[in-house]
Amino acid sequence: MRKFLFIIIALSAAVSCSTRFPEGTARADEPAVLSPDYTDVVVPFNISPLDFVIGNPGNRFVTRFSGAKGGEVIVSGKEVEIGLKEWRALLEENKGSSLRVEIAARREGNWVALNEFSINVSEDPIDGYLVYRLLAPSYEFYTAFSIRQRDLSTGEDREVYNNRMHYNPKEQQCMNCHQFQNGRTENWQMHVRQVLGGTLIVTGDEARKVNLKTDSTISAGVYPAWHPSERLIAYSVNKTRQFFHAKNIHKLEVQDPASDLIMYDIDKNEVSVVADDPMAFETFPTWSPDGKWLYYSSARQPEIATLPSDSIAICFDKIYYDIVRRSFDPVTRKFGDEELVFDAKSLSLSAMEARISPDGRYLLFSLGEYGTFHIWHRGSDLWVKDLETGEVWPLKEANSDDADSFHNWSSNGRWIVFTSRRDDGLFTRTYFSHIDKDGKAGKAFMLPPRDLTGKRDRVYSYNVPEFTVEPVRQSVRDLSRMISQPAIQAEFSGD
Amino acid sequence: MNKTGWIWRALVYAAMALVLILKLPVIRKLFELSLWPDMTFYLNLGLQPGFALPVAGSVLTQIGGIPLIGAALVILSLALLTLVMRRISGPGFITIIPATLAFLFIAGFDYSLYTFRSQGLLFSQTLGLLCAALIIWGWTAVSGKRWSFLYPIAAVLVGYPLIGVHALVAALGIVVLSLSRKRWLPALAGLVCAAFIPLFYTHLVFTHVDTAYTFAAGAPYMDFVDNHKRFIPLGLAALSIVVIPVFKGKLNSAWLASAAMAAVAVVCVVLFSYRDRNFHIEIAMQQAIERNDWDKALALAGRSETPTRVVVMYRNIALMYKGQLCDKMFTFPNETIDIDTPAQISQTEVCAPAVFFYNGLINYSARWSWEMSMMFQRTLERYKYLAKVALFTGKENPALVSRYLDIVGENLYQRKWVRKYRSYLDNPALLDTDPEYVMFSQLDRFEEIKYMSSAVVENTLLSHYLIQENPEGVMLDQSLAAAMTKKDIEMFWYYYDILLRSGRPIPRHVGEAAILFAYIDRDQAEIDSVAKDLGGQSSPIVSRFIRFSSEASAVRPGSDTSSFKKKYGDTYWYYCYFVKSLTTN
Repeated sequence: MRKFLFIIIALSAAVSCSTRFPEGTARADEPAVLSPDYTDVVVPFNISPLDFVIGNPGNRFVTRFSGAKGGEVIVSGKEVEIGLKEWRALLEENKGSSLRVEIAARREGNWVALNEFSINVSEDPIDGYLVYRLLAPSYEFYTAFSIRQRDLSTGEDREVYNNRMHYNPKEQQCMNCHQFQNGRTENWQMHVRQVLGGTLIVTGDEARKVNLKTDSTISAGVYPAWHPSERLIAYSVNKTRQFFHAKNIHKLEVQDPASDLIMYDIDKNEVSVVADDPMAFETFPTWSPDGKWLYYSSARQPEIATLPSDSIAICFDKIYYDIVRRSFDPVTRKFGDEELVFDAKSLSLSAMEARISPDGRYLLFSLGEYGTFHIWHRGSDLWVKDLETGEVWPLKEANSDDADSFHNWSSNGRWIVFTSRRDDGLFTRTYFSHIDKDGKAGKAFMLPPRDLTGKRDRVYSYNVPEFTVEPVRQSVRDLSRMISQPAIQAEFSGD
Repeated sequence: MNKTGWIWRALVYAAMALVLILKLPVIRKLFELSLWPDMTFYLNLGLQPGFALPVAGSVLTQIGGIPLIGAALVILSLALLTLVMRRISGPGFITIIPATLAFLFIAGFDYSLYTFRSQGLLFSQTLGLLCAALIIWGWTAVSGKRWSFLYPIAAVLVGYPLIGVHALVAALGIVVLSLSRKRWLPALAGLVCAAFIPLFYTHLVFTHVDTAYTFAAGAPYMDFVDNHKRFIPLGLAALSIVVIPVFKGKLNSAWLASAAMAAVAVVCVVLFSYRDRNFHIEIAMQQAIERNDWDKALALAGRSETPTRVVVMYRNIALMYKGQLCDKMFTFPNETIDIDTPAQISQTEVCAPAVFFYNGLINYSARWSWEMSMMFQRTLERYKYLAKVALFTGKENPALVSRYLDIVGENLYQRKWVRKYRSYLDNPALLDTDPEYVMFSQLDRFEEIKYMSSAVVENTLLSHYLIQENPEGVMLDQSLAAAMTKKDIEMFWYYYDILLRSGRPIPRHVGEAAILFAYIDRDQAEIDSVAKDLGGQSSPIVSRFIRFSSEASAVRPGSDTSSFKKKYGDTYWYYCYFVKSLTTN
């Protein structure tokens, strides 16, 4: 058997070594059609191979990647699968430069060359891992979905946890909002809803499941934000409702007829209120990297906030969230007054999911026509505000005609990850974009699918992408055990 | 051994075949609720112990997409099971017991099939039992060898990942057989293997699997929620495979015993098959609707004296397409009953994608197709609705339509279907020749509205049609039908006025409702006006109503209304007075 395998490997190596790029071919003046589209993108030098399928007509294909600083990889076939070792060597050699990509297609006995394109190789590394949720686009019901982790440098993809670990035919288990403190996996959290519900908070070797719902708050914790240095997590608490459009292309509206902000003190097991203005809807908190500011989205619209829930539902497209912030003193644990950071309401737009770059300079957010849940809003785009100059601009190179939202910074602030529905309007895919020192984005590229034909991913959405610099430390079984424990009731602190 | 055994076996199989022929639409439905096995699906979920059974079961279900072939495959798989049992246990008639029980499991599929989470269930469990029997047969061949104790170890080691609990059934069969022959070592090996190898696998290999179900892997433990009696034949079939081999040579049936057992088997096959009339009518109606065979759908609707609301909704779709909704909807039975299931299965799970699609609420059709795909399993039927919805909205990305069509096209017997809808994608002008699209275009004429939930299909539909302002054409018919169904007099008059202004002829039931509601309002001017609308006092509707009202006033509460029904059961008046409430479970 081993001999047989050896022969196969040797033969494959011989075939691949013998692949030559047909020189002097006629130009077809035809752009290369790739799936995923990796033409003229900016990629980190430590990214796993960007395999793709060629969509242009032809019987045979040969693709050549030539580094401006040297190195060459040639791959034959319509499905361009690049060896990990040679790809990494090529990118390493061409850091800060670019790859020229030529594709030759064999048509009616002749080779023709498609239009060349380039792949720009950034010197800025991307974080090693991406933790994301993989699920199909259902709305209320689900049986099987998982949180997964992709090693961005090798492409290896593993399950972190799946909701079938505590299967119950009568009641489902949902898990969401995994989030890591500073992109490290020592301290992180995720919510489990329904079966064995609670918020799982992992701190080092310890894990605690907490019920964050108290009599004084409107829900358990929802959207989390770990304080960068303290054992504190800010959460929004949301009374969330879904509405289904009968004919609107958006199909679904997720609305919070009430929402506030709380903070959970891990050591004291205490919940306290950060913002609960009855005239405003506060949600999606995030900390500044120095931990001295808490940013969040807030819709201060008394004319709507005072309406009954059903009436708020009717006003779904009249609710506009601004981005605001409050100062925070880690010693006294007191928050300052609310300050307006980005006035979206005056533009009749809604700004969500504030994320501050690690150097504290840029505020990244998604801007949509209205409401809170931009993943369902086709007009949603990513925007940046320079917190030093006050200048605001859209990330044109990263954005698309469809919903672009749910974004995050890499630990070095040179990459953003976000979700987009640009491919087909329904299934959310994860995209990366390079951000230069001036806050300008490079053309976004898709997280390589888990198989080259994309079959494995074609009816799945990737959402809640979170960078981490190291792999998740727990196995599926570890997490299952942790989730099995009873939830501890958090205390409410009125201070 | 008597030589007539084959006759009795043939008799039992003939009974099974007959039952399956009566259930051909159900076999077709199981095909529509299946999907060509896509290994990426299993890879996404992580392979589970017993994964080979749903894969093989799905393949066979797909091949059986032509129901007669499906029925033949079912009989063939059961015959194989009997054949293997005969190899193990000799020619005794009891060898037919596992196949009979396996058949009863299949023939017992009720409303639960809409909520199956296991794939390929039409075949997977029979295949599992067949594999278990084959393993036991294999052991009988090697049982005399000194190393035979290794056989159960190998069987469970290899079998558990592939066929799950059925490998344990085989191991137990080996244990029982070994004990009966006083061969202690293989018995011990089989017992230990059955107890520990699954734990080894679920703790060290299938680490993403809930260990609570270690000893149920490969069995449909996710299905038949609150309906556990459906497992009884399957459990007994497994038990019979374990026990029957012990009786080898001891129960060579006499003629009379064989005949008696065959009779019992035939009676069981007939009696314990699921025979709910509405269940079978609903399935056949949906299939007729999807073929746009409206006459067939209506003929089926007429077969149920006490239909479910699902039958009523399907019937109304067919009437709408024939332009007869408000002329004939009350000529069919309207005294409805709940769907017959001990499980919590709602009309939504039974019919939401189809009913919403054919009523023009295509976003909800797509929504429920996805919800059920995720809650239960992805199916061909659900992908077809998703593809049609994505195509009909005209606003979706063509890549999405193409994605769905690709998936549908991977299934057997779908080439023509995919070709048709891909032609619409390539040339959208062709959509205007599609009767479903033409009807959708008329039903889509409403202002955007959003609902908290559309979980109760008929309520959502009725509410939808009753909030329409100035509807026209089919939408007006639907609004009038909804007002009549809900007995909403105020909304009826609103839509009635629109109908009069439109100059369209007054449909029969609308006329009946108008004269009745005018009578209820005790407004003589209104009665005269309606009578005039209907052609005067001598018009058939008015004169019949006069007879009805005088006879109805004589009916006492609780008295027998059957003769009344015979006379007026085809009128709106009967519905309004004697059909009390909707059962929209």
